[in-house]
Amino acid sequence: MTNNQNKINRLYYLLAFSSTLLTVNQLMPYTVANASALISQSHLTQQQLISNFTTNGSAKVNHNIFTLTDDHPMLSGAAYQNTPIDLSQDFSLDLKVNLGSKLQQQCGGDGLAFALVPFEKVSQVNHTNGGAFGLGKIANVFGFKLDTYYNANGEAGSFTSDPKEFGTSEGNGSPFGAFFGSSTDGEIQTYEHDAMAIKPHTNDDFESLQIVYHAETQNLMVTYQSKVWSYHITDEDLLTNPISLVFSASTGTNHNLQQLMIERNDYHPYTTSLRINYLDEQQHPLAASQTISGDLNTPYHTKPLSLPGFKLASQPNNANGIFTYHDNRSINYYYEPLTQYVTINFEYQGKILRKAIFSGHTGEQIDFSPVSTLAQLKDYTMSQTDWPGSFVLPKDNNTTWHFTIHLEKNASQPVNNSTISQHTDRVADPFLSQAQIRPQPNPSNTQSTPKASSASQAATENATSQSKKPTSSKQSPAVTTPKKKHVISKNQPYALFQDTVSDFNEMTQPNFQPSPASESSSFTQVVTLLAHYTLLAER
Amino acid sequence: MPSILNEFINKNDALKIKLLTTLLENKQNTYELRNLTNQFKVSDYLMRESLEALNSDINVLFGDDWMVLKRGIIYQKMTLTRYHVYRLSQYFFDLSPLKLLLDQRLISGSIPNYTFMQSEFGWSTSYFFIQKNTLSELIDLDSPEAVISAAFVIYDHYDAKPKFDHYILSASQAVSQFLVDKSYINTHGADKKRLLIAIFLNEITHNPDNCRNIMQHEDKHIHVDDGLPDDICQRLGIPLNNMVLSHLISALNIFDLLEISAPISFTDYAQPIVDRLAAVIMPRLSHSKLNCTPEDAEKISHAMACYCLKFTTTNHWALLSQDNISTNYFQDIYPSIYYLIESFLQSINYPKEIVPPTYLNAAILNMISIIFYYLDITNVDAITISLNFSGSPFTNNMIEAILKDHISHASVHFVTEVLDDSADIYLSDTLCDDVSKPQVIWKKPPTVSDWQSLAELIIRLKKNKNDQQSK
Repeated sequence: MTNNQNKINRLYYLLAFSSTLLTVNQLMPYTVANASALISQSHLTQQQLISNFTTNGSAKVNHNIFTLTDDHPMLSGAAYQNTPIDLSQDFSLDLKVNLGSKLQQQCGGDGLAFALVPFEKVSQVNHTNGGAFGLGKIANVFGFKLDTYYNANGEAGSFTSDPKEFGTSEGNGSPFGAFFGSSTDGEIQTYEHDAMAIKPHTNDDFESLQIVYHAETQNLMVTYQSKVWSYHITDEDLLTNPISLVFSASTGTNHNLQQLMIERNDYHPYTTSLRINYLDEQQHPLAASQTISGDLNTPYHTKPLSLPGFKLASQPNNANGIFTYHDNRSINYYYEPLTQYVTINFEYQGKILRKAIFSGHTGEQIDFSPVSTLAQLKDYTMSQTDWPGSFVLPKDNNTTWHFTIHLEKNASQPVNNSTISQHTDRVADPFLSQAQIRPQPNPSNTQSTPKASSASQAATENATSQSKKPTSSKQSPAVTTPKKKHVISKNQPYALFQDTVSDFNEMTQPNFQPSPASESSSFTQVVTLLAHYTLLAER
Repeated sequence: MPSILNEFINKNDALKIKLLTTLLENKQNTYELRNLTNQFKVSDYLMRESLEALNSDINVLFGDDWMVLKRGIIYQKMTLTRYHVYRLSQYFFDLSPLKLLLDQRLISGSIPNYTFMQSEFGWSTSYFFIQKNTLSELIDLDSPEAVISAAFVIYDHYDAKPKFDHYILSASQAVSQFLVDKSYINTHGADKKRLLIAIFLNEITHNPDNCRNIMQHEDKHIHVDDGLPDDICQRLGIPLNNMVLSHLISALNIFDLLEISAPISFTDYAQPIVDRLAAVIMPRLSHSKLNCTPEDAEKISHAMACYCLKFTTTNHWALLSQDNISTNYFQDIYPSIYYLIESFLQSINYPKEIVPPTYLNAAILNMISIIFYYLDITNVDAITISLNFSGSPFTNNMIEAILKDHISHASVHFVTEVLDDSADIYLSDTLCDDVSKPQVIWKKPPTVSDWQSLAELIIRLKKNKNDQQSK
């Protein structure tokens, strides 16, 4: 029974642990994608083709085949991969293509192309048709075509004529394979240099077309019908920007069924990166920057770091967003230093005679010399202290630092600490004794300290004696490290939240008069009012 | 308190003084901590610590706890007055590092170096330079005039005294007596005058290089035939036949510490200014409703012109006390004098500004006090109140006595048992149909609001009278 219980427990823990791991894994920022990850796909199914590619024009997906054009005139169809690729990495494509069953002399045409189109321009694909395979008028396009229709004449601004070696007149030539490209004006030009004739295709069989790109050599190699075309890509725009893979085909007055199958597709998706900086208001880094990267059009989420001693000043607008083509941006989290407080207590037998309070920001130095204060507290000298003289406000979320300078009476006025009473304490206090003995020079001094009622006086004395209790502990050897004030100590006079109900009731009883003299009489009010209206009260 | 003087006590002590002043100006017995925190825009922690620290300070100085803080409410256990505030200010000033540095600057004639402050007072180097820079920003330490004025204003404000050498103190006593004997000053407020004299003598003794101008050249404004007695010069180690006295008299003048009839004259630079200002003031004064004789008009306009001369100084410390003054009382009680002086100042400031806008109120107040000194103003903007209480003669007499005591300073006169419109206000316990003037009826002993409405009525009538006469 017990064993069963244990087993169940273990299983439960195992389950819980693995689900925790799973959760953690899910929570890991998926934005930190590996930029060099190779995506390898083979024998793409209909579903994969639909989800990974976008088709337009006459292009459609049937089973695992892209039908770019049916055997009808005046069609243009294209399919392009949704995820742009990165030409700083290799890619390769094993395709099967069907160029149709008719020769151009039998009204067949126009052919099929594979193109590299800048990602930001891919939406322009297939705005024209015919000889440009739907790629005309798009700037900085590069690709390879299997051309089955001879264009003796170009179309200004869209494409130039085909090389003369492959035909004599419009629609009367032999099929060929060649690289093509467009410059900034968008006019597609066939590169004659490596153009080679291909065997005419007279049935609807699929033939293998292999495209391999080596990033190291920037070489694109195309193999079809055992012929090899090779091109060294030098266009920096293509090499550095995200590029879309496009397959397109078109028909004019001549037409053919033109299809494509993707046997294998290996590529590296183009990734973009964002730099996250953690800065202070003077733009100085407070922590090491982080870089996150991810595929285009995928969302990212960033969070501020928790930096001890600093608080976030503002959330950047781009803390969350989508990786976009234009990213090479920074996300700047700005922090401001916390205001920290240093309190130095001059303490004599548990009684605080003076508090020096300083405030500053994290990293600032607080300097304080107790000499001036000791000069004022004439009859006391310093016995022990944990105050180092200067203190750099640390990078810490604790914002209050307490130091104590323990005082003792000067040797000339020895006081027996063990038998000290409230009364003797008062007499021994230089200020109190002066106040009692010294004739008051200012007549207002005589009414300057009206005493509270006897009840409150007793309460005060009681409180004083209570506050003396921890004296012995405070008199312990001085602490050499600052005390962090995480919890309001009971010793703090204002921390009377607990066990103070009775005290509070006493305070609120009618016989308690916190400030008897401020109970102004009618006469006082008249005098005050007259003073307000007739005298120089506003001075 | 001008805010610049707050800089001379620690930031936190300044907060405590502000806190105490705020509490003093409110009549409540209890205060909510939260309200104070919001009002002062400080953290809850700092407010609590400051209150506790203030409590400790008051306990050290006066021997009693001032307040108890429970559940966010401050209960006062003793009533504090301005006396306490000033004593605390003095205490905080004594603890201020800037005071220590200013002391050292005065005593030694220059700012000490950091090693001295480190060995004597335990100041770290960075702390020393922070304080030194702060002080230099507040006071131009290279200008003896600025140092003397600033030190006087600061020490006078905090009722503190620099720790001068004994021979400076005895010399200042001797100079003070000399000035009294020569009728430059009188014996009122002797401490304040001695403080200024001591600061002045200390500066020329300890900082002779910077004070060469004071020694060798006459003051820009004031000429005196006398010089400092030779024995005092010898005691201070300054050359004989110097021009120090004119500068000292000028300093006393700028702080209004000079006797009115002091035997001074003006320099060739200042005399034309004084003459022009007096010429602007005198005709307006002669033609005013104040009925002053030509002799009085001359004296008053001369005194006003001399007073306005001080605003030509560039030493802003000397004029600090002239800032932030309210003149509402005089505007209400003596509207004719107030608006007359206002018109003087418009002429004084044309074509060239003499009295800057920030000091206009101070100028008005001081010029009113000059008129008070020379003229009997009991009938200026006078209001007559007819008293007619139906009780015993003792009642009328008592009411009259109380009223005179309370408001006769506002040039209010009283007549009894006059039942016509000759008085401006009819004050009685019975309504009277024969009187068309404003009636104030007190059937019972007057309450606060009765006094208040009487005061408002007096002010309104004075204003109406003045407006009618101006037309």
